[in-house]
Amino acid sequence: MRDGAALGAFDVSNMRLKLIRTGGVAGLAPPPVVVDTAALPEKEAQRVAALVAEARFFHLPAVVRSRKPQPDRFQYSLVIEQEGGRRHAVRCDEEAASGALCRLLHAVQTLKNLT
Amino acid sequence: MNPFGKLSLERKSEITLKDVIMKKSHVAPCSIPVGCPVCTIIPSHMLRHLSRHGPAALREKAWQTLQHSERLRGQRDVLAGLGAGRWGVSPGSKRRTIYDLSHDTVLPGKRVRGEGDAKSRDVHVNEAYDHSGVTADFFRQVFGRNSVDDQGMRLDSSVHYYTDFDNAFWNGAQMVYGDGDGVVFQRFTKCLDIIGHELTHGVTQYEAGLAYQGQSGALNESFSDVFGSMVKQWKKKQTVAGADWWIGEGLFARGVRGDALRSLKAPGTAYDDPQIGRDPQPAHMRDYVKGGADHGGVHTNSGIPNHAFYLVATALGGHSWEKAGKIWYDTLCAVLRPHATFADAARGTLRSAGILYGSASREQDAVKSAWQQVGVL
Ligand SMILES: [Zn+2]
Repeated sequence: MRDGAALGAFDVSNMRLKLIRTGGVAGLAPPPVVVDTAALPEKEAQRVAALVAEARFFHLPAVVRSRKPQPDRFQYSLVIEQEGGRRHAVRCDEEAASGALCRLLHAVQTLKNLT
Repeated sequence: MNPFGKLSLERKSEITLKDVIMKKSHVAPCSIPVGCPVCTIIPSHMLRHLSRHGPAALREKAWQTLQHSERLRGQRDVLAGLGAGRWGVSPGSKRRTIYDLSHDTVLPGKRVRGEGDAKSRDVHVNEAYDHSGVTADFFRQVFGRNSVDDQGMRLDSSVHYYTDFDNAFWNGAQMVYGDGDGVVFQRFTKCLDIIGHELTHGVTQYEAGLAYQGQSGALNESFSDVFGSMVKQWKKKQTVAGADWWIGEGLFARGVRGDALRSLKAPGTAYDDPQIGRDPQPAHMRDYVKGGADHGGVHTNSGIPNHAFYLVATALGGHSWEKAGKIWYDTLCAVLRPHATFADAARGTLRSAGILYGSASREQDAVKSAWQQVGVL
């Protein structure tokens, strides 16, 4: 699989990401973050591609649930479509996500200001 | 009725029970000073624990003793109201530690302030320290509870979680606070009731252990809001009439149209903003929100039990923590089980009110009426 390949060799083909976040102490349901990496500055697009690869996103199960949910944590639903038609969707509890997936989710959530 | 006549009987039965406990279980000996004129020998939390988790032979006895001592406690309330005496719990020690994550997410981070240390220059650190201290003092002085687990657990908090993070949470062992993005939220250490909310999640974990899904999850959320609100009222010495009953007042960034995250007084009215939408909380069962998001709407449907508490507290008047708070605390600690429903909470608070203040008492009537008004009973 190419996703975990050597640094510097990320698939920088365009990706479309859609992230929905629910939960949290405030219980808000903010509007989904929709990002097209083609519209991002080159450096940001590279960073997102790197995080997608590190999280091995396309190999994750569709649902990553916590057996014992932690109060006030976020839940996320992330869908990524790659140029060429590859598409994967993951729903997860934040506390059940790996460090790499967490970094990806947090990074995409903060991209809302760039879209 | 002469409460002191009853007291001597009470003490005798508790000494007997204590003797049994000391021989048969691993419960730590009581730490409450015996010289106190109106205090029970075995702390009620220990009795509550025994009544639920103790050896089978002890459970019933513990429950009976608890019922007697809770009635006595009701009488002590009357005595205290008359200025007849004080039996406060000693201030006790807290063990707070604040960590700085410096925008990382690997807990706990670098230790920056321990118990008794001088103030930091970082307001996040000082707020996490001060507000967790007030919350611990509230639980100790009002309910005789020794920290989150009632065993003197350390209070660890990590601040500056990730970058611009719009959340605070309890991870099962500690509190974690984000800085807020400055657009919707300010720093999450800012509000005493939010920190009270997080620490109460810890208390619930060690008591009823309410499962974080559906109605039991909404109850879990509601206990955190109810005790978070009480901590703030207690600190400000507010009566039920003087309190604002908001949760997280002042947490929103400038420009957001809203007073707070939630309102116990009027669920569904805390904010209405083009950017973040409208407060979705119901105040009545007919508006219960079904659906899978947020573990079945735990932060939404908590509006219903939140409002029930508000109705009880305001019907009884005075300070919320004096009567309504005691009824809710005893229900959390001695009655509810992990998969409790709203109806279980209603029946549980009715039972606790009956034990504390007598059946058909004004207090029990207020509890019944409140759950009827929100459509649970
Ligand atoms: Zn909560």
